[in-house]
This record gives sequence, C-alpha cells and structure tokens, in this order.
Amino acid sequence: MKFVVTINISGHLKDLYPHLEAQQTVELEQPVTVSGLIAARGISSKMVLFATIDDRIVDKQLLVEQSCTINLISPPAGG
Amino acid sequence: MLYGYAGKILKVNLSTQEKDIGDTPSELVENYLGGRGFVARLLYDLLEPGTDPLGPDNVVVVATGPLSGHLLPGSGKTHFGALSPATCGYGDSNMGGHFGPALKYAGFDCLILEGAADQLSTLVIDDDEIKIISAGSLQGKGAIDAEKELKEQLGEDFQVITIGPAGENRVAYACISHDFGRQAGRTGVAAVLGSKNIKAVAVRGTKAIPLYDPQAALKKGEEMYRVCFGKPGFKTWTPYGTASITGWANEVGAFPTRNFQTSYADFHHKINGQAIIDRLLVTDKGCFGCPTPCGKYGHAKTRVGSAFVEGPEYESIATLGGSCCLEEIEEVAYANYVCDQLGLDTISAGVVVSFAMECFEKGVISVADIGREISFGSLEDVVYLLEKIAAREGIGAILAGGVKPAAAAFGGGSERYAIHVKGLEWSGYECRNAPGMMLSYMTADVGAHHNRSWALGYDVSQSDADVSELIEAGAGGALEVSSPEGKVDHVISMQHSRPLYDALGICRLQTMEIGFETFHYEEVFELITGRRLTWQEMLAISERIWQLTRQFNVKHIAGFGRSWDYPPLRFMEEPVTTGPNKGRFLKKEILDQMLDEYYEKRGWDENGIPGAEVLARFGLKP
Repeated sequence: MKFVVTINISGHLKDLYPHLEAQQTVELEQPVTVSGLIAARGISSKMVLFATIDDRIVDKQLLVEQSCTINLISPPAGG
Repeated sequence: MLYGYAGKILKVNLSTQEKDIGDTPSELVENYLGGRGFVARLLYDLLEPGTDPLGPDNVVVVATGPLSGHLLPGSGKTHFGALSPATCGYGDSNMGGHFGPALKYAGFDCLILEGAADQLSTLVIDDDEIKIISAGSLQGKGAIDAEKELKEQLGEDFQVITIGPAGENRVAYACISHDFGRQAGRTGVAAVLGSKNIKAVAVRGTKAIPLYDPQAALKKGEEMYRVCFGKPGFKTWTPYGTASITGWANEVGAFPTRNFQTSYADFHHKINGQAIIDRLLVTDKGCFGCPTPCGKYGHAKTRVGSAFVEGPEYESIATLGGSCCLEEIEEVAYANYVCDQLGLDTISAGVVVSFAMECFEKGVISVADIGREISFGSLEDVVYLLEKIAAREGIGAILAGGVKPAAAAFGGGSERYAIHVKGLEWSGYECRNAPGMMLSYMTADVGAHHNRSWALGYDVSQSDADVSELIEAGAGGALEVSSPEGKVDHVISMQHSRPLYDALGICRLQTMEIGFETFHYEEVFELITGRRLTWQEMLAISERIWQLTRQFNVKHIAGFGRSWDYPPLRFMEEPVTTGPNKGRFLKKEILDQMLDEYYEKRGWDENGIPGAEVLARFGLKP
C-alpha cells in the first residue's frame, strides 16, 4: 500500500542538506520507521536530535503512519 | 536621516569625565552595519599598537545593531569589545537581555569608554543626562547583587550591566553581567571595565528610533513572530534550550571531559536538559523581543550552598560539568551561580579549574601551591578555586591570567593540556574527530570560541559511521578519522553567517535552531533602514569584518601568524581516552593541510597574514 507523509526539516539540517526542501511530501511504498525515513532522505541520523509528530518527540523506531507530518530537529549549537 | 539607528555615538573619557556626542558616521553604517562591525572598526581605528589591555589607553566599545530594539524576534542583542586581556588581540563578546535596546532608546547606537576613573564608579545614562557616580558601596559585591542594588537605587526601568569581584581584580576572563543571568562572557572585556574603575553602567532610554516605514515594519515584525511560533523546532527548542545538546554531544564524542582528556562523560544523562527541567527549573526566561525563551531560571540546592540561578547553558554544562566532572545538575548550576556572582566567564573558568585539577593530578602543582588537595568531581574544590581566582589570592593569582600564562608559570609540560587558542580557553566541543570544528576554533578571531563557526554538525553529518559503530571500533582505529576534505569552505561560510547576526544586533538562534528564514531579515531590514541589502550582500560585509579582525590581530600581537592558530598538543598527539572517539586525534599534518587551504581561500599568505589584494578589496589598509 502506498501512503503519503510530510517531512519538515529545520535548523542546521537546512544548511547541511541544501538540496532538500524545508518541507517535503513523500510517497512511500510500504511502512517504514522514522529512522528509515531519515536514512531514505539521505540525512545522517546523528544530525537529528529530535523527531516529532504532532508536537511530541517520538522514538526513531516508530512506524510512520499515513498522512502524518514528521518534524526533524537538528541539535542546537551551544549557548 | 539615518533610519533604524539612534544616529549618535556617546564617547565618555573616564579620566577627564568629558562626554562627547557625535553623529554615527554613514561610512560606518554602510560598511560595517552595527554591533560587531562597529566594535571591530572603532577598536581598529582607536587603538595604537603596543596598547596595554589593562591600561587607560584601551577602550571599551558597546554597540547595538540596526535591528536592535525593534519589534521583531531576537532583537535584544548587544555587542561589547576591547583589546582583550586574555589574548592581547581582538576581543569581543555578545549578550542578550535588554541593555542594547535601552541604550538605543537613550539615543545612542554606540558607547565608547576611554581613560580610567579615579575611583570605582557607575556610569548612568538617563536619556540625555549622563553622569558618573561613585560605586564605592558596590565594591567587592557580586555582579548579580550589584545589579539588584543599582536597580533598587535608580529604578527598575534602568537596564544595568555590572562586573563582579573578578572584573574589579582584572581577571583575564571576567565577564559582564546583566539581567540577573545574562553575560557577555568571553575575552575579558569586564576586566577592561575593571581597569577603568567602572563597576556598572545603567541606562534608561525613552526616545523613539526613526523608521523608514514604521507601519510596514510593525506589520512585518508581527508576521515574523507568527512564523517563529509556527516553526516545527519551536516547541522542542524552548523547553530544553541549549542544554538539549548535552546527550548528543556525548553520543558523537564531542563532550569535553576531565580537562578534555576524553570526549564522553558516562554521567551526561544527569546533567542534561531533562535534568534541568526535572530538578532545577522554576521558569523559562527570555531576552528583549524573544519568542523562544531559552533561559532556564532555576533553584539549585547542594551541600556547598543553594541559589537561584539562570542556567546552566550547554557551554557551562560542558566546562563545569564535563571538564571539571561535576556529576549532578545541581552542582553544575551552583558552580554556574558562583561564576555569575564573581563575574567569571563559565567557559574559561571551567577550563581553567579543570586544567588546575589535571596539573595537580599529574604532580605539576602541589598542595603547597594550591593550599589543599583538589580533584575532579569535587564541587568544594571548584568553588574554592573560583573564589581564589576572583580574589587573585594564592594560586588564584596565576590562574587569573588563564591557562596559557598559567601553563607557562607551572611548566612541567602542562602547556600540552592547556586547552586554548590564542590565549582564549576552549568552549564546549572536543574536536579530535571533528576537523571542521577544530579549524573553526583554530581560526576564530577571538580564540577558541564556537560562536564564530559551529562546523561540528557538518563533521558529524559527513561521517558515514553510526555512533554504535564508532563505539564498537573503539581504540582499534578500524574507522578513519573524519576527513578534512570540504571542511574549509563550510567553515568560511559559517564564519560569515554566524557573526552577521552580531552585526545586525539580533539573536541567531531563531534561524540557526528553529529554521527561521533569512529573507525575513532582508525584508525587515529594508523597512526599518530604507536600505535594500540581500543576505549575500550582508554576508560580504561580514567578510569585511572578518578580514578586519584578522588584520587587528596582526597589528596588535607581536609575531602574530600561523603559530597562533594551532590547538594545544593534546589534540594533535594524544588519543581520546574513552567513548565513541576513543583512540582518535588529528595529526598536525592534517591541521596544516586545512590551514594551507583556509589561508589561500581567505587571501592570506602562508603565515596567515592578509595580503594587500584582499585588504584592498574590502577597503582596508595593511
């Protein structure tokens, strides 16, 4: 089954992956984890400090659901 | 009409008590924007080679930016600068809070302090009324206590900066304090204030700043707030603030631990952002105009003492927690509070204290030198040393100069692990598997400070190995050290983009951390100033400032050049002892390879000296 999710990237991820749009809607062939989705977009998992869905931090092993919006948050650069 | 700026610069000669108010030069605005740009250009023009950083001929410049004090996100920034007593070269530091906007509302883009007062004093700026009053009653008082007393005396509507005992005693890494927990921490500008007998500056401003298109600027500012609130990173950034990076820094092996002997602390989960929320937090605290309050105001109870304190920020966690091995968040917060009251930069102070601990551990200094035994992990020892440093008592008199002069005094090979560049102590990222971040520290104009370029993310993202693979590889070295290839361009790019926010007078965190787009700043800049500049054109101005501060160091530091850009030998010769990057270090050959490329791309010669062509391109003179 194909399903669609929206991915938002922010912070340093925009600088590190300038070829990626800040917001992307992607179509998936089968259920994948958040971690798998990050890898599929070519993003280093180490540069994703938090992944959130509906403003809640989620485990990267969570299976993403149809029509959800996933936000990938990079680590901040100190104070 | 100069829109967006207050239009005036206030110069106070503390020796003669003369005040001079002049127009903000249009050339300065055009070529240097404000904030860091104003500080760099004015210091370059005002200071002669051979100036004593702690003598009356040094000057302190306090500058706001064109976006400071306006109704838009993060517009509360103020920039401070002087010839640094830590490096004897270019020194500056940036601070949030409310001081800059107040200075601008009083009618001044910039404040220049020259000479030295004949007694400890407070400079009071109440719009056009400017006076120097005695600060005798504040002598020896903690920076936070002094601010409280001054606000009680002058009125809550005054914005106040203070120095603590460390600044009065001219400790090379004394910091300026404001708003009960905001600091201009780096490069020892507070020591210069101390040398000028200035305990505090209090400002109340009630004037309007002329705007090119007030209605459109207000509307744009409102839009910018809405955009910030809607950013995905907003709801995760604000609760944790900078401390959220603590766990990550350990996972990638970048957390300075035991005076940078290693880059992983197995107690990191006890001193992270969640620990602050669980065990300290009273309330969030933000700066002027801030939609994303990252300050964490909390209450720390320890066996040594208890205090209300803002923080700790990540950098304080890294240096006081990691490098000194304080394993509980309450201990880190209390050490942070002691630094704040004494007026010590938590970054340098943490590195200096951990350096002393390692020196004692290795037998380089003794109980006779210190007055007691000291060890990593002891809050009592951290507080003991901090108080000695601020008072310049006993071993504190040596440590007050920073790790570079202390290592020269101690000998015994301690310069290998005196963790600094150019005399400024290293901030919170261990770099033996992060060549881009290492180059960032090496080439920063003020010394080892992350604020100029944070290339660690680039290093980490370029590494193919997962953290678990790095841990498994361990000391066997099956995985190569992260490649330096491509790092130079990224570092140069960041050295223009991050300091640009300091020139504009705004906080970079809204963009860097939650993804706020830079085109908003282009638009609001035009509506405020009437001047159209693309982000790229602003970056070109930032590059001019970068070339100027390098040339400043050439002008002021005898023999300045390549040798000033190297990290301590520990990072070039000693492997990391534990954690994900165990066994790794960056050989000098790799660093030289990066420096060669960096200098060439900057237009500098092989010794790192800017060439005539590049200086001419930016309108600078050798």
